[in-house]
Amino acid sequence: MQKEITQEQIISYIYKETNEIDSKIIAEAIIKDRAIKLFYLETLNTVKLLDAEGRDASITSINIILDEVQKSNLKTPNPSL
Amino acid sequence: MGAIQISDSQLIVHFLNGNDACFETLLKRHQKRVFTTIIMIVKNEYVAEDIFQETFIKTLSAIKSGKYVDDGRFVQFVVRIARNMAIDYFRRVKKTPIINGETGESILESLSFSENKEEQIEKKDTENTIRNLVNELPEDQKEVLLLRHYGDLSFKEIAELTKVPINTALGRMRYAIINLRKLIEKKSLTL
Repeated sequence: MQKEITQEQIISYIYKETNEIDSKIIAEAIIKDRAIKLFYLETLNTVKLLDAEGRDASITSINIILDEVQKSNLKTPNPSL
Repeated sequence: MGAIQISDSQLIVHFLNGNDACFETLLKRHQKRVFTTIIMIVKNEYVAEDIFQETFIKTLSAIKSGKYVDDGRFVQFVVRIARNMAIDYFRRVKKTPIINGETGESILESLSFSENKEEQIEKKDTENTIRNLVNELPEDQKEVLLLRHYGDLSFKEIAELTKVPINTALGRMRYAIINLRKLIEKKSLTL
């Protein structure tokens, strides 16, 4: 009897959080079961859409942080010395 | 043959041995993931830049003081700080009156750190669409989605951070994706 696959397990699978055995079971279910395949593909598409939203911090912010790195070295002795 | 990327853990060790460039590499490697997480939570570029700076300065201090114990999950550590700072920001905002401009928008909304205005306008439509859709989700669903997708925290880590069982975190993610899908269909967006 085929083990029932939940939608939560499919989401875990997409985010590579399932173990090797479960991954194999889910991969097989995606091929065999139409409903599972549909949910998998829809979820995958939605997740891919989220990837379009990627924002860089400003150069100003990066420089402020790097200034702090330099300042922190003036306060902390170099452990390698 | 591709170049081998030095790990975060190795960069931290070198940084602690006096090589500042290693922190710069860590910062530049993860800034997009961390900044995206923050801006999606606070919805305001000015505030996001501020929290972003504070987050990395706090991270710097944690590394230097030895409070950061490396377990190979550096970016997740940074995202946890960012998330807590964003929550603190909302607590402060609740106590502070919001100043609105002539058209009713928050004064903060009209400020921008962007170096290139034209580039910002070009990207605005796509980004705003996705961000707006995510912002329409209930807060608990949105939080799991942001921490998992942009923050790269595992569902177990999210469950611990938000103090819910792992199945609840997973359930919230499931609803977030289903609801996001419905919103996409409602707005007739194509993937």
